[in-house]
Amino acid sequence: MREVIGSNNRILEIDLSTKKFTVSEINKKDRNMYLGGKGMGLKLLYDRMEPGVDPLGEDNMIAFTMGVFMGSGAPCSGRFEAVTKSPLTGIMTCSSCGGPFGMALKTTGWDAMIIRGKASAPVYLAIDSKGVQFKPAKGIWGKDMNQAEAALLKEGAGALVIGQAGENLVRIANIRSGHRFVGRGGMGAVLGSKNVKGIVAKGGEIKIVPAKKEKFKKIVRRFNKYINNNPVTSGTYRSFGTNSATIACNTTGTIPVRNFTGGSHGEVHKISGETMAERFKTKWDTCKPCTIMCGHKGTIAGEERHIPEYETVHLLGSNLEIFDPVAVSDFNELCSKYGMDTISLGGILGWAMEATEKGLIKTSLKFGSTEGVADMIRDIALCRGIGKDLAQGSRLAAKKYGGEDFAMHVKGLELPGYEPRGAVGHGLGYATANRGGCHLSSYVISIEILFNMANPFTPKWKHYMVKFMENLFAAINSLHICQFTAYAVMFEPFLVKVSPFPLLKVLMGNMAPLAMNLMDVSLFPETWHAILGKHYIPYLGMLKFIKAGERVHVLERYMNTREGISKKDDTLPLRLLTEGRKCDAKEHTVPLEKMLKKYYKSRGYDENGIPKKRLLRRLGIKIQ
Amino acid sequence: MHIPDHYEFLNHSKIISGKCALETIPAELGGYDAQKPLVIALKSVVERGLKKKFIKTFSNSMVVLGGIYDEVREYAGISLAQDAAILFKARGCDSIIALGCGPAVDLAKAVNVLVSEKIDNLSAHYEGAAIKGPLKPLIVVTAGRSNGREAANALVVDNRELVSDFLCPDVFIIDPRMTPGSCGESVAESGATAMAQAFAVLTDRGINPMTAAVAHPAMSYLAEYLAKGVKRPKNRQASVALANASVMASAAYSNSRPGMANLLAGELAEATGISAGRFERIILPSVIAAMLKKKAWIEDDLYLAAAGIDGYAATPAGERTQRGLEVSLNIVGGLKKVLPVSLSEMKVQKHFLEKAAKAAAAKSGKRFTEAECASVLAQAWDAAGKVK
Amino acid sequence: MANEIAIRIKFFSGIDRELKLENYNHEQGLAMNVPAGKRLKWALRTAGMPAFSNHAYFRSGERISTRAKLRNGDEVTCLKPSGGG
Repeated sequence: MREVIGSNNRILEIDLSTKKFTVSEINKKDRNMYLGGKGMGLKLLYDRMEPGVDPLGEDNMIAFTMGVFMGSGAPCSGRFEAVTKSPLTGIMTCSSCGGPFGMALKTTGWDAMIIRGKASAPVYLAIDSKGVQFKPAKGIWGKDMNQAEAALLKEGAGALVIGQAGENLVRIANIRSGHRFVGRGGMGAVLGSKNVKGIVAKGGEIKIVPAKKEKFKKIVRRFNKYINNNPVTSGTYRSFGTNSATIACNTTGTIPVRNFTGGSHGEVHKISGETMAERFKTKWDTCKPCTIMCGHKGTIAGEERHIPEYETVHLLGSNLEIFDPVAVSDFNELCSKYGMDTISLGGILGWAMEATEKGLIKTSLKFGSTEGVADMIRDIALCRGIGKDLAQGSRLAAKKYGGEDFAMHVKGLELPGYEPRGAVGHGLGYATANRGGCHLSSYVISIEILFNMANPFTPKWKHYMVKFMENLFAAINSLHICQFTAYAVMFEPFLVKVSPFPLLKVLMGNMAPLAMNLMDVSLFPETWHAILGKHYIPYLGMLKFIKAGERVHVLERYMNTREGISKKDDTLPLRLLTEGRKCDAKEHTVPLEKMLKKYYKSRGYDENGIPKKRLLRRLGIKIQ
Repeated sequence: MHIPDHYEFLNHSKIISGKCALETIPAELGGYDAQKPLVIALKSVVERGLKKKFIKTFSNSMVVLGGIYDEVREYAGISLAQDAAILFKARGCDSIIALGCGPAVDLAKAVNVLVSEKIDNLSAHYEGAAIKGPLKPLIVVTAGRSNGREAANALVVDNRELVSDFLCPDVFIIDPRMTPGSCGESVAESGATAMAQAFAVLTDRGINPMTAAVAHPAMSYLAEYLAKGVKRPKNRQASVALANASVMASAAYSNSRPGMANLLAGELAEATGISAGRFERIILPSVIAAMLKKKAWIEDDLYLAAAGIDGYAATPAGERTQRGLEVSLNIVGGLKKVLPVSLSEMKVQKHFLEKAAKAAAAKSGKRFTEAECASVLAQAWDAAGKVK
Repeated sequence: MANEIAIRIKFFSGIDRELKLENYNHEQGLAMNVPAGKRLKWALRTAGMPAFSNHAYFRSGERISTRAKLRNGDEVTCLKPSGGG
């Protein structure tokens, strides 16, 4: 097998309309500036795609990009990124996935793949190191994801497939690889609009090796040590998965209940990670390679199933006032079969239940009842009855039927499972996240609630925390490594470890920039340099790494502003800005305006939220 | 003047405009045998301190304000209407005052339907059930940005329209203490909406004597005061004139057919979530330019209204149509410093244009073709610099 | 006894298993009577927790430290740090 050092730097560009492909290269400058993964995906589309194209039209492009870490053996590096213009939000969307397709594509010899155009009839793409074959998808078009993936895996080591939802252009349709999903923003519909049922990569044609093998080995040992020392990455994630946060979030009033009208519920322990682990005898079922192991499977209703993760549990559970873990798992399975994002689906169902309650639509859906939910999920996936309108997402459904004031989305993307009235910095993160209502863009709730390092109710310094975390996560998603590794790395620096916790908390509350910059994340750029064989300069290398994250984040923002995004879109659903909650001793809302102003200033955006030319020049982003 | 074979016109509202107009509210309510109104106020109006001024005017009257519901923001939804209806019942109110334009009026109309018909939601009406009879008295105190629907026999709540002749407000109060705008942009948006409506009425082939009579002063006020009002939003004279223009244009337009600018702006507003007023300002010049190019025939009323009797009399009859369009173009052009002038500047996604053209043509009742709509949008895309 | 207060500690994140509490119910938690004026640390030690510095404690939705004084009727939730998804 041929050995490749670090990265192939080869891009496979596929035009479905002409059934031709070309091969291009990632240039060194772009590699250094945008790293790979998310950053590279955005850069490739920025250079190739005009703003204003129809997300479900021929002119939209979808890029799948691998990072430098993929295939190197770095811990938790089995992730790849997909980037496109979202049919749900109408702006750029990026989604990270831990399925086997990434490894298969990279070991086939491709670092990135860009798909454009539209096939005249349904096809699937078979990729090997020489290029792509366009094969008719007659036998698998119309099949669910389980069947389609099983069929494609006969031809390669990893596959991407869409379900019926993607074929029907459901705007929350996702793409599956193994038990992992390119979940958010309706990427499944983008593939569906191009008549692509799936993509299979042969895999195993090349072997990725790090340039500095010994150094890399040492770094990996240190990485694993950090992960194994950390109580989150080695403890609760491993034992109970992401759903381990349920009780903490319920206790602090940050879970969504009844379409985000409440933040905690007495029955939530029934769907907690602890309960599921005990009841369903869970075992690990993770991305590969992975040291954290947050993914689990278990025996539910007599069959082996993937255990729903935190977001699914809360959007399809507590948000609908459903606290039956088997029912939540049933809904999750339906989504896995038809191919829909569980977060957005939960948001849509929450809206539909409230709209039904208020007489805006007629359905059998009711908060607290599982009756009719499974049927509605099928109707949405297959675009039947009112399901056809719900398949457009809560924003468009609310435009048609009303209820915009309780459609819980930001920029069209439904909110994940954290209630920002219990953690206002996280609310700012939702409002400013580039792809819309996204928790992973900054995930400030980890600082506010899960690690208890900042007062969750004060807006003080939250703009800085959001900015810092956005830059960090953008960089991590460009390497590309699992975002959860950040928790293990961030708290390892000597100063952080030896400082008493109350001191750190005071520091974070009053001098957040100092506290956040104490977090030493140099392990990430050090690994990157070791794989590519570059010389790593301590500290400066880390600053460069964070700057690359800033560049990626700002590029995405800039691309979105070309699509019409501005301050008016950096907001939260009215409910979170105007209504207090009964579960709070003292009612409060998210003081967004105050935080947003400071955020723009610290980012270098103008008062309308548009990146200033000075900022773009500083980051080396070519103004178009 | 052309006599139509058939026409209908409905305008139920009484307009009280000028100094101390607010002080007439108790008497107006008395005329309806009402004395305990629920006030439904725009949040933005309250934040500007207008609520206090409004309450002050009741100090020497027998009227007791039953309650003030001031949670109305940009979006009028049934949840708010239900909350306000609960307040109406709990306080034993007998009438409604909408303090502010746009969503406050839509919401006040919705609350009126809920409390008058003793229902919890509007679902039956959305499905076609008619409003059975006269509703509670509804007074509108104009303030803030208009959506051009205030005087219409319609409400839009949760983006769904309900039409009934009973929905026309009973009284409009246009008081110089309430009308000054918060900023030039807000005045310009209201003005653009009124302009697009008045223009649609005066250029519609189905124009009738009544719509013309009501749209005429609206256009005259806009011609004279729009630029001034935008430049000096706090100017009382201009703001009263523009508030009158808004109410009149809205009343005339609700009896007329939508023009191309209204239809296209409505479609783009729905697709982008940006207010229709902004799009009307951009699209109207392109519509006018297309009419000029096509040498479209329109009644002389447009020119008479926009230029006044002197200009009208001094212009040869054959040139009045063209001059009317040119003057209209100038009026809209006066907004270019405060509102965007092209769709590209607004960063509207290009793929929306095709869909908007198609939908607008379909809603026009074959008056405009898709190609015509598309051509206007194409011109509006990069109209920067072309507007006078 | 007059100088005793009743509290309830709810263990999650597998802490109950580590403590080997018999017939433990997540809904009910562990009911304890402790002398008035004692701190959470004391109650946790009494419940058999060997180490607790890494854990998170909440009372009425607010995070508290192990040095917090207990009050009659307190319901304390005890968790390991968690990450969410």
